[in-house]
Amino acid sequence: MKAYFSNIVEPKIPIVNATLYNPLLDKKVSIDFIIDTGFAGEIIIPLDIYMKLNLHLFEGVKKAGKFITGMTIKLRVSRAILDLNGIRIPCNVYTYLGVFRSLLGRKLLEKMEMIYSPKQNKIDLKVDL
Amino acid sequence: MGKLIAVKNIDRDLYKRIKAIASLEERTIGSIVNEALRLWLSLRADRMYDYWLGIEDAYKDDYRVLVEKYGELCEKYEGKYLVICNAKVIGIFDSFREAVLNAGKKCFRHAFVIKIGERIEEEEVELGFPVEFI
Repeated sequence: MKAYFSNIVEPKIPIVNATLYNPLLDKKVSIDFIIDTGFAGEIIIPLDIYMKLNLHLFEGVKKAGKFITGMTIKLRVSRAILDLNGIRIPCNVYTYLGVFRSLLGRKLLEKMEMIYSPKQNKIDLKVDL
Repeated sequence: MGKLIAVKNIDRDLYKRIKAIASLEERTIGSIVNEALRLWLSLRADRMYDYWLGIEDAYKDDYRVLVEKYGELCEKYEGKYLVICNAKVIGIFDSFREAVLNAGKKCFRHAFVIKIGERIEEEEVELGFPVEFI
């Protein structure tokens, strides 16, 4: 796991790199997640990564993703396992057509300690299960 | 552009709401319909759209079976794990691991792996702000 600020867009965005496995642990992808405190769930990823991990074979019932503007979309949801520094956390993974960034949301962040100091360009994440 | 097009079966209440908001934003209904149509088209222009459609069809078939059988399964097998694919119940398993192994082996287009007894009603997840507005 590596946490850092990326300058690919302005203002800079907090990123954590982690490995996502499917529930069978036979497929994995290393992903740069944007740390997003506006997202209440665990993880959202683009559909191509979701398919690469065969997550469509381990799904639950769809959930309604609600934007703060009130607009809703029907999210696919599957179980998966996130590896953060060797600590494996079972979690829900969401996707939708057109998603082009991977986000790590509050439901996972509440299991972590985070030092967020953009002015010092410093970000530190520790998993605390 | 500017041609008159009549559209049947528009939801009257939805239309009323859009009309009210359009008026507040000093926009025409036509500009809002164009925006909605562009958004609809942009989603379908996604390179993954064919995959999405394939999973969607299978999801609908599997979901129908889930809703039909779930009450009965909850009475008999609460706490166990259910796998549904190809519009059939593939099996009831004691552990999540066993269920995903079977789903991985026997399913191809789509599968549900559900802990029996969990709610299957649609729940909400807060997403924050849509990217297009940022």
